[in-house]
Amino acid sequence: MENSIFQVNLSGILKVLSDSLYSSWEVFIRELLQNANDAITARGLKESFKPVIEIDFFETGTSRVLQIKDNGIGLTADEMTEFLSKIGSSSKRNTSDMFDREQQSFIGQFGIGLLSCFMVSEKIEVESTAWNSTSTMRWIGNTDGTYAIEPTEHNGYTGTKVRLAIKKDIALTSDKLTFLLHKYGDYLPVPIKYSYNAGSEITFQKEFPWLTRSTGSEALMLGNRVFGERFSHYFPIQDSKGQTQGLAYVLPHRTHTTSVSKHVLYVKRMFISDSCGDILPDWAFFVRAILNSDNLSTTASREDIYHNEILEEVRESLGISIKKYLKRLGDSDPEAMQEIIVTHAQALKSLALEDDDFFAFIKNWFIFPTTQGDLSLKQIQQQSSSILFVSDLDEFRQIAPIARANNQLVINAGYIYDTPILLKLQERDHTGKTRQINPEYFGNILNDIDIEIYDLIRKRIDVLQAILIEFDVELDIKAFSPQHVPAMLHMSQDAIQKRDFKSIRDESDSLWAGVSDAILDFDPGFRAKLFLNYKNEIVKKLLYTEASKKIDPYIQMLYFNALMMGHYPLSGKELDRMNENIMILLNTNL
Amino acid sequence: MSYSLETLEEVQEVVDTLSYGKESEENEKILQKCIQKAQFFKDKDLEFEARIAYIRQVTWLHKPDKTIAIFPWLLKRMDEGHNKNHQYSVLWMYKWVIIKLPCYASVSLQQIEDLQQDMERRFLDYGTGTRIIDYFRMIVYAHLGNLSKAKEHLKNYLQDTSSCLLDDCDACQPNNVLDIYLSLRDYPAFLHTAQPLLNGTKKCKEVPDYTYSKTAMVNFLSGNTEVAKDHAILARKKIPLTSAVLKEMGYLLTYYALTEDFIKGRAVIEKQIGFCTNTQPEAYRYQFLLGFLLFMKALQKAGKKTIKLKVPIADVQPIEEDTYEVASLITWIEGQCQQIVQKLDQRNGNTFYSDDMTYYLSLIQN
Repeated sequence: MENSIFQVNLSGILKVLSDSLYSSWEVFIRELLQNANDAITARGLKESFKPVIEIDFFETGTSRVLQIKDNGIGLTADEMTEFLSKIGSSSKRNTSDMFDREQQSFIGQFGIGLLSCFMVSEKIEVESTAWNSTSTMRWIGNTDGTYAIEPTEHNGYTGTKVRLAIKKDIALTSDKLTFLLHKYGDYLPVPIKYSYNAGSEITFQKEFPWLTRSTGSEALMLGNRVFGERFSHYFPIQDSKGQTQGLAYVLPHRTHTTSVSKHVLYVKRMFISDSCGDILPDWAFFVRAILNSDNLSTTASREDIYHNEILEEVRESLGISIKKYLKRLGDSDPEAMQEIIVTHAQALKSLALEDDDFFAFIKNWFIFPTTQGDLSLKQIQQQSSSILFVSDLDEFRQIAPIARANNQLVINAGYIYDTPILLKLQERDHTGKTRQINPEYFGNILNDIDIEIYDLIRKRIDVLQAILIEFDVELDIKAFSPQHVPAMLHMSQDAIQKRDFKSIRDESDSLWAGVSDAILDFDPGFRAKLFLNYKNEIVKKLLYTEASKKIDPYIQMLYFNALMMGHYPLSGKELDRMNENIMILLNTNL
Repeated sequence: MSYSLETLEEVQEVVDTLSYGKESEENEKILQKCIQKAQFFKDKDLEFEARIAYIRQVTWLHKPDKTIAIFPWLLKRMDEGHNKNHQYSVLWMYKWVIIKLPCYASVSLQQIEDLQQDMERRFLDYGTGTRIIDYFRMIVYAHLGNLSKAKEHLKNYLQDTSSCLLDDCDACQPNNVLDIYLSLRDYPAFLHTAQPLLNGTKKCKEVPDYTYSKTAMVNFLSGNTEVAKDHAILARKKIPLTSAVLKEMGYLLTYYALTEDFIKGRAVIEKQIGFCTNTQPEAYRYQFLLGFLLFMKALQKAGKKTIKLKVPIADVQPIEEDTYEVASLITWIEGQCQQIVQKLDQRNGNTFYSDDMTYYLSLIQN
């Protein structure tokens, strides 16, 4: 069988480029600047010269012509045929050509850049004089796929000139062109000189602020302008090889862990993207960065970076760079560090959970809500001999008044990351001072009542316990402040769930009830623990009232009240009983 | 984001966020709290949505006892005329329940049959047609060890080309058919059916990730050792061991036993044995313990008398810290397997599970 050559439909390819590869026609400027820059780089390998890219935009009536001229290495007639007329051929990729030695210095390598000009022009005219040559060649390419090469009058300089007659429907104005030249050309190593209708020249050439001795305010202004924020903290970052460098800005406001991070990325000084999310680790969502990379590769559209192992390495080492900055800041400027901690508590806690070294460094800076107000871990350690924390907000709410009255400091760890952070601290605390507690633990460390008093009321306690047994509640008695709190209840999440499952089972038809009985263990033991407060007047009345008096509604109501105070759900049976009791109590007292 | 869940709006927001959120122990706890809060606020509609989201979480976390515990509440509420807009979700969840029931030895054949009929009636009322009914009958009968009935429904299912809204996805369906061929030991049919799953034509959240362990075992038993090796690697890579995946790891342990890959096998045992508790269905525990038993038998056959395990094994005393006698472990695991097999066979009225155990033990002995 004879092999045939693929036929390429140029207009089809152009449609693919404009509809699918490139996000807009504006990128043709980037492609032309990149080609010019690469040609100049190639000539620089041969000799010393003063590089420049000259851009002229002529606008007369309805005609608009754009001309981009570089004094780079230029192209011979053969190279024009090879590199301009074959889609996918790139002078910067072929290992046998003159650009090979320093291939990594070039931005482009796909051989499709020039085609982007067809998005804005029906015809591309390229005039070029190759280095060390005295003849100039002209190449004209058309959207129908035809092209021609011819010698032309020697123009007296080495380099390449691209000339485009801009299509009517392309909204290219001088202002737009200026904007695009800033966007793509500001940081290129070659100065760009722009002139409109042969008027005065504007030169585009800047240096990245991290490479100059620019002041902090200049760096902050750049960040504010680029990201539209009012930053107050920034710092330089770079990967381990120093090939990706830039500035990172700490967002001055809280942001969600799942928010999309957008960083500005240049590759080999060419603008690539202002919405690059993959260059920093996910946990660094509180940071925005402007970076230039010499080691990352771009995709064919050059609007994103190629996801490979190098990107992984760069991302990881930029992450290390951020961590190092925070460590340094903690030592050098504690107030600034505290401000960042307060603003980005969630991100930093999330990071500390993943990274043991970072955890060890930052843990004492973390702030937690406590029964004594918001305190850093360091302050908590100074104020209390132990670090007690409660993981459930409802349980904390129950414990808080009692803890305060008993001068006990307890942390509310019901917010995201707080419990895992404190559990990590507990794991590393070999003194046993850091402990996760619940109301039961707290109830047990409260003061017992005097043994003689206990013996005196023991029978009554047994009676009360018997009343509550139908609700699977275990009763205990303690003496604690504040006096106005009659009781505290603890029910574990496991117990609450089993109550729920049992309740579903009880309300199901016999078939489902049978299946539930076959599969589930409803645990017949005590499920809740009610600590009565001996100091409370109502509790005392209950304990010392005449034995003949019916006290069921009272003790049950104390239990239901404790349930509600703890935001625990009431079962149908408990709700019915509570309503019955309210009627009884109203009837008794009216 | 805080999970204080102080207001109805906060609870609703969290339920909405987590309804299709990634499954995790943390999200399960938050949704459990949301159910309690919805109960506290006495908002039954919110409670319904929280329970739906919770069932999704625990199902994907492989906690079928919790799915089955809550499901009747949803069904009852719908039967009372509420939350009809969730009918599709509830019927979909019925499928999750029905395929787990026969895996629990304590659920009687009559209970399984009654619930299956209940599900079928609801499905037909929903307009599903009978193909999906054959599909689930096939799965249930296979779990019950009634292979002739399973084959009969498999045939009906394969002949019927209709489809319905409640059908499992295109990847899950053949994946479940694989279990039938595995029980029938029809390995050529198994490998043929597995093809579109393994070449990427059909895939979903769990398939083929959760398929690789059984295809590793079957490929090995069919003499395709290189493919089996690849699939074993993929199974280990793709199936997270942070929740109970007893059935899948049972197959993988069987493969490791047959290939005497003791280091990888031990790592699987250490990560999964803690999940092999009474809350997991007997059929899944059997599959894992069988793999564990075969693994220990292979170890013994290789002349090893002891093994180090970093996790405690119930009822077996280590001879020194972290070191167990292989023979003692075999005695204990064999006893556990036989107890489960006896319960399942007794309930099923056949000898499927004891035959299955004999078959796999013979593979190691030979």
